[in-house]
Amino acid sequence: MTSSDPLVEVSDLAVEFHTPRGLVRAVDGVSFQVGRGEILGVVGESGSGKSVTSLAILGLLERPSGRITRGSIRFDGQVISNLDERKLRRLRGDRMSMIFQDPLTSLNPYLTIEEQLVEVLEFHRGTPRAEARQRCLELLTQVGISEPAERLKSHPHQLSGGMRQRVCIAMALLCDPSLLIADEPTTMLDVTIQAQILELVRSLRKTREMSILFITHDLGVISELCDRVIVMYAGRVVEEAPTAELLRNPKHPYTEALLESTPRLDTPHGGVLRPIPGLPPRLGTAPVTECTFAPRCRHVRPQCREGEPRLLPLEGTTRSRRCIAPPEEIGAD
Amino acid sequence: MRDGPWAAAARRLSRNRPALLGAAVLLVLSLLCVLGPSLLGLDAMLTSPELRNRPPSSEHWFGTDAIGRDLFARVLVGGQASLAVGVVATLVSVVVGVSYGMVAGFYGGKLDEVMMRFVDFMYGLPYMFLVILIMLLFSETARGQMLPVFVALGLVQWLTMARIVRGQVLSLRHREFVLAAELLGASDLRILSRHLLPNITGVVIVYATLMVPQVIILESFLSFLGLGVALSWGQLVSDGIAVVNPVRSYWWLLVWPGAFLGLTLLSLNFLGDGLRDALDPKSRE
Amino acid sequence: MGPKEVVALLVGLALLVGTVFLPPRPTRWVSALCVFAAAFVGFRIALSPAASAVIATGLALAAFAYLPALAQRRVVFLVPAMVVLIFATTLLMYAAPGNPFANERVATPTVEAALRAKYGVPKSATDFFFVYMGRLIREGTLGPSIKVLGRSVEDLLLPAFPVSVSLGLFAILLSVAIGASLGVIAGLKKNSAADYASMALALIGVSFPNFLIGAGLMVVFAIWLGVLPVAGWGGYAHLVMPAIALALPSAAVIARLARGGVVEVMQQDYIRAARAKGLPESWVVVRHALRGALTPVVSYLGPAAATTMTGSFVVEVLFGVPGMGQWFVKGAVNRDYSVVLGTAIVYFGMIIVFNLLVDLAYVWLDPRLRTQKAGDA
Repeated sequence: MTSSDPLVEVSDLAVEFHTPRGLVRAVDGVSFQVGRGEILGVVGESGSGKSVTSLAILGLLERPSGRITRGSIRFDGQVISNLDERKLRRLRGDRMSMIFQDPLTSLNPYLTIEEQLVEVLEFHRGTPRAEARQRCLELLTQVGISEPAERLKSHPHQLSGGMRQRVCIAMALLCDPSLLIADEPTTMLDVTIQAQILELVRSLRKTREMSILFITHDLGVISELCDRVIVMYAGRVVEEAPTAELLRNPKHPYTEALLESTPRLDTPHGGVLRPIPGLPPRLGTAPVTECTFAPRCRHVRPQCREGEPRLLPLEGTTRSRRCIAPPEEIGAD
Repeated sequence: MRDGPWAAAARRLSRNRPALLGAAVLLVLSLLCVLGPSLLGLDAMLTSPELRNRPPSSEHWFGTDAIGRDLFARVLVGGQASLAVGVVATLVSVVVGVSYGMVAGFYGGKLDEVMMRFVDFMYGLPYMFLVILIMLLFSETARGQMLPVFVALGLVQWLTMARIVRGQVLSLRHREFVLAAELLGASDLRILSRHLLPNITGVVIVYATLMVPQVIILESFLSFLGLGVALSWGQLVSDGIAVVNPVRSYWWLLVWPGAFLGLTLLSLNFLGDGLRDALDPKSRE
Repeated sequence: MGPKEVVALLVGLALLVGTVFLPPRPTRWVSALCVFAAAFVGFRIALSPAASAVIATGLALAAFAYLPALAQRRVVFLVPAMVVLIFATTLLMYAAPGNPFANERVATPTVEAALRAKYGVPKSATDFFFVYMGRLIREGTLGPSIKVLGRSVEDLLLPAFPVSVSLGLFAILLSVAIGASLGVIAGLKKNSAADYASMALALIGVSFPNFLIGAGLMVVFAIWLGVLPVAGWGGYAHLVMPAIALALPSAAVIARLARGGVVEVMQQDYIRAARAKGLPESWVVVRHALRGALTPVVSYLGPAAATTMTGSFVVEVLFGVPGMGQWFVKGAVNRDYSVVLGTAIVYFGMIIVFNLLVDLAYVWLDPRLRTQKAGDA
C-alpha cells in the first residue's frame, strides 16, 4: 500500500439501534474517506448521525442495542468493522483515539490524571511506570500544560475545563495515533478557551503525521481548521467538498440553509440569518421513498418525492452531493 | 382534573402481574383473618388438654399447640393483630413523616438542614433501642396490648417517609403553581395542604405500602423478645421456634404462621413495588 | 420527667442544632475536643486516668491535624448527640413506671434509700445521669448492676462485647460481600441470572424477619443435615447461621444500591472514554466503574450497622449467642438502670467509631471530598 491510500475508508455504512420506541437506523449508507494527514470536518445537526459514525469507527457502539448492519470500515488498509472486540481494543487508544465533547465528564473523577494517562501506555505498550510517567510529562507539556508534574498528581476536579480538555488531548496522543477523532471538543468550553484548543489542534497537526476527524455543528470551527468537509443530515452524507469551496458555494440545499442560519463575519447573504424551517425526520427503518430533506427544502420539486437521490460527484469538481436540483440554483454564485 | 395521571397509573398497575397477585393475596388473607374466626366459629383461646401438639387433621386444619389450642384459629386471630399493627403504626408514621418532611422541604435552608441532620442521625441508631424504651413507658398492664406497639413503631418508622416527602416538596416548591398561590396571598398552611399535599399523595401511598411490611417485621421482633402483641404472627412464629428441637418435630407450629407472615410480607412488597412503578415511573433505574 | 429535665433536654437539642451552624475553624477545634472527650471516656473503662488522657490527647491532636472536614463535622455532631441521647435514655428509663427496687420484698423507705445510696441510683433522673457519668469518668466503671447481684456492668458486658462485635462485623462483611457482588453483576448484566438472583435476594431480605430466616437455616443445616451446631457460641461453625440471618436484610438493600450504582456509572461519559482508550472491559469495570458504583453502598454502611445491631437483639436470642443484646433487653425489662445505660453507652460508642470509619472510607474513595473545606456544603 502506498501513502496516498486513504487512512480511513467508510463505505455504505449503516448503523441501527434498538430503542424503546423501536428500531432506529441512525446512520444509513454513509461513505467517505479520510486522507493521511488530512483534517476532515463532519458537520450536521444533533441526531444527524455524526457521533454515531465516529463511535462505529472505534467499535464503541453500545452493545447489544447498537450494531453495524451494512457496509464496512477500513483503517489503514484493514477492514475493522468486523474485527472482534479484542483486536479492536488494541487499535483503540493506540492507532486511533478519540476526544469527547465534555471534558468535565469524560475524565474519571475518582482517579488522578497520572493514573488515567499511564494506563494507556501500560496496556498498549507495556511501558514501565517510570518511563510512562516521563512520556506523560512530555505530552502534557506539548499540549500546553504548565507544571505538568503537579498536574499529574491532581484529580480532574482540581483542573479548569480548558485544562481538562488539554489533558484529554494529551491522553489521546500518548501512543502517537494515526487517527484522532474529535467529537465536538470545544462545544462545552468558553469562547476564549475554545480558540486556544483549536489553535492547539492546528499546531498538533503541523508537528505530527496524523489525520483528524473533526465533528462539530459549528461551521465557524470548520472554516478555521478543516481541509475538507462532509455534511450529514438524517444519517446520510448530503454533501462533500473542500472547506473553502463548501463555505463559499454550497451545492446542497441543506448546506445552504445551514450556512444561512449561522452568523458569520464574511457573510455573503447580507447578514440575514434564516433558521431552517421544520424538524429533522424521525429515523425509522422503513424504506426511504423520497429525499430526506425534501420536507424542509426550499428548492424542492416533484422529482424529489419520487426517490432518494444518490451521493454523486459534481462534474468538473472534487465535490459530491446528494441532490437533483441544478447546481446553479443553489448557493451564491 | 387529576384523572389523567391517576388513570395512567392504574393502567400501568393493571399490567403488573406480581403486583396484582400481591393485591389479590392480601385481599384474601385480610378477609380470612378478619371474617374467618367468626364465620367458621373458631376460638383461638379454647384449650383442649386432650388435644396437645396434634399435627394437622381434618378437625384442626393447622394442628394444635402445646395446650391444645387450634392453630388455624390462632393464625387467623394473630393475623388480625399483625395487620392492624402494620396499618395503624404505618398511619402514625405517615402523619409524622409527611408533616416533618413537608415542613423541612417547604421552608428549606438552615431549618431543612437541621431537620434532615436529625433524620440522618436517627437513621444511624439501632432503633430497637428506642422502640424498647418507648414501650417501657407504658405500664405493665399494657404489656401485650396493641397501643404501645402502635406508638413505639410509629415513632421510629417515619424517617424514610420524611426524607422522601421532603425531596418531593423541595422539587415542587418553586414550581409555577406554588408561586402563583403565594402571589395570590395563600397562607403557608393552605399551600402545603391544598397545593403540595395532593401532588405528593402518590409517592406517599407507595412508600406507605412499602412501610407496612417493615412495621410488621418490627412487631415480630418485639414479639420474639416477649415485648410485642400477645397474639400475633410474630408471637406464633416465636412460639414455633421455641419448640424446634432435634428430637420431635412440631413443624406445623412454625410453618403455618411463618408461611402466613412471609406470604403477607411478600405480597405487600410486590404490591408496593408495583405501585412505585405505576405512580412514580421515574424512580426505576 | 420534671420541667427542669425537659428544659435540660431542650437546651441539649438546641446546642446540637447549633453544631450545624458551626463555621469551619471552630469545627476543627470542637471536633478535637469531642474526640478527646469520647476517647477519654472510652479508654477510661480499661485504663488509668493518666493513660487515657495521654491517648485521648494524641487522638485529639491527630483529629485536629488530619481528620477530613467531612469526618470532623460528623464528630462535632455525633459526640454531643450521643450525650444528649444518653441523657434522654435516662429520662425515658425514669419515666417508665416502676423502679429497680419496687419489687424488693422488704421495700420500706429506709431500705430503699439504703439501696439507692449503695447502687448510686438517686430518685431524680438528672442526678442519676450525673452520678453515672461522674463515676464513669472518675472511676472508669459503668457501675454495679442493680439486679445481677455482686456484678458490675463491665463484668456482664466484657465477655459479651467481643461476641457481639465479631458477630456484627462478620455479618456486615458478609452482607457487603453478598450484596455488592450480586448487585454489581446484576447491574453489569441486566436480565441475567445474577440479576434475577439479586432481585430474589432483595425480596427475601425485605420479606422475612431475620429470625424466620434463622429458624429456617437452623432446621435445615443443624437439624436435618446436622452440619452446623444448633445454637451457642464457640468456634467458627457457631458464627455461620447467625451471621447469615443478620446479613440478609442488609445484603438485600446493598444489592439494590450496588445494582443502581453500577447501572448509573456505566452510563457515564468517563466509562465510554475509558473504553475509547482501548482498556479491557474488566479493567474498565474494576478500575473505572467500581469506585463510583459502590459509593452509595459505603454511605449505607452507617445505617447498615444500625440495622445489624437491631437484628442482633433478636438473632442473639434465637441462636443463644451470649452477646450484649440480651443485657439491654433484660436490663430494660427489669429496670436495671445501670445495665441499660452501660449497654447504651457501649452501643453508641461503637456507632461513633463505625461512622467515623465509614466517613474515612468515603473520603478515601472520593477524592473530591479530600480537598473540601469544613465549611463547604
